[in-house]
Amino acid sequence: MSTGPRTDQGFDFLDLSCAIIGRVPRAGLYLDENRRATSIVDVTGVPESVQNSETFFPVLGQLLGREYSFGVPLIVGLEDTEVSQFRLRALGATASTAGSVRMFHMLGHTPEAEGAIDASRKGEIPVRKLTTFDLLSYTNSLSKALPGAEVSAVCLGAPHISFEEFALIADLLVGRSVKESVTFSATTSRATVAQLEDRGLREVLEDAGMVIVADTCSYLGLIDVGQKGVCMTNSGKWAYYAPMGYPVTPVLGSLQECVESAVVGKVVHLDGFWSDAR
Amino acid sequence: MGSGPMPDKAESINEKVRGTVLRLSEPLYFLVVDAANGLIMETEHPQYGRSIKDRILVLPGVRGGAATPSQLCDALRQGNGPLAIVLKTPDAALAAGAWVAKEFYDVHLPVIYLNRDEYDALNHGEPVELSV
Repeated sequence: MSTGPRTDQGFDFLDLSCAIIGRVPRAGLYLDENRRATSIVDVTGVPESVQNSETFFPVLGQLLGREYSFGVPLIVGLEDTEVSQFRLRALGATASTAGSVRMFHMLGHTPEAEGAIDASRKGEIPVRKLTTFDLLSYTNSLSKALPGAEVSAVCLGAPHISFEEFALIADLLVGRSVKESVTFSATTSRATVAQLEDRGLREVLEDAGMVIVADTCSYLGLIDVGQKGVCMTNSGKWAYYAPMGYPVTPVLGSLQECVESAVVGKVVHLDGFWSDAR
Repeated sequence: MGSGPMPDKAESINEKVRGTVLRLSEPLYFLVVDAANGLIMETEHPQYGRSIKDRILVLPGVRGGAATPSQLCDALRQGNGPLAIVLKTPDAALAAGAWVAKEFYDVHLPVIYLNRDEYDALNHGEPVELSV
């Protein structure tokens, strides 16, 4: 997924080959013509409370993956919304999971969005006006239990949790701890684990009951972090893949909702997303 | 792509591949193709439960996972890969997987690009013979 640098999705063998010879294939997203928008997705009609919630981004990613596979969608209508790199990442990861969407543009937030429409093709690109109704089936496909359901695990880390996100989790856990019946895990890189150790955060998080695992993911069948029953995650990618390998009922939530659910032991949904998009 | 030696083109010219078409209606996520038997394990995929083994695999492309080439390679290594892959747009990941399988395991997997009409003419379950 590209949001600025001239790059394309890397694949194993191919990435090593590029590193060895110092060249990349003259193909795919390395070429200007393949980076141009193929469709416009206008989210102006989606209520602000939904646009501003974290869960909107993986759900929008799921829609893009399902409906714009092999295309380059340009999202418009979020110009005045705060869109962090984590939100862009959540959108991109889910879009590339649910379909073959390797690049998207977002007006006001990604560097090439302004020029994404070839001047000669202005007016020719299909425009889709999105409503919350369009989001509903995608929300329901990723989030399959309602508030109050008993949670057995909370799984974060697809893609890997960053240091900033761990810091936020630590803030949310101050003076509290993970409920005994819940396995609250996050997967990340060993570099981030080292950073957590340097700042003393690993101990803080583990003392509060969190499990931190380096260099893997919890949806691939490689580690046991209690993936069974109702599992909360902030990742559309996790919610999509995990049920294929584990007997889990995924539930989406923001990072904060995931932490709250881990503490309470039940699905907690606080965002406007859940009242206004569902 | 680069200045290294080109693959031996003579090898793949005048080659014929015969087999039965497995036609996928959606792109494939190779990480949940079981390399031990070729089965598509992605429950959300319309062709869930089918095996790519010894088929002419006709598909619109791949999804997700940077591990596509190694997973395809692993299926080929275990003798559970397709006989040929047919696409309508070039795909670097599948080409890389086929190329490495040839280099590492001497398994030859033709990756063929057809135009839309030719691609659409390949029906699921049909026996076909492709000249590469």
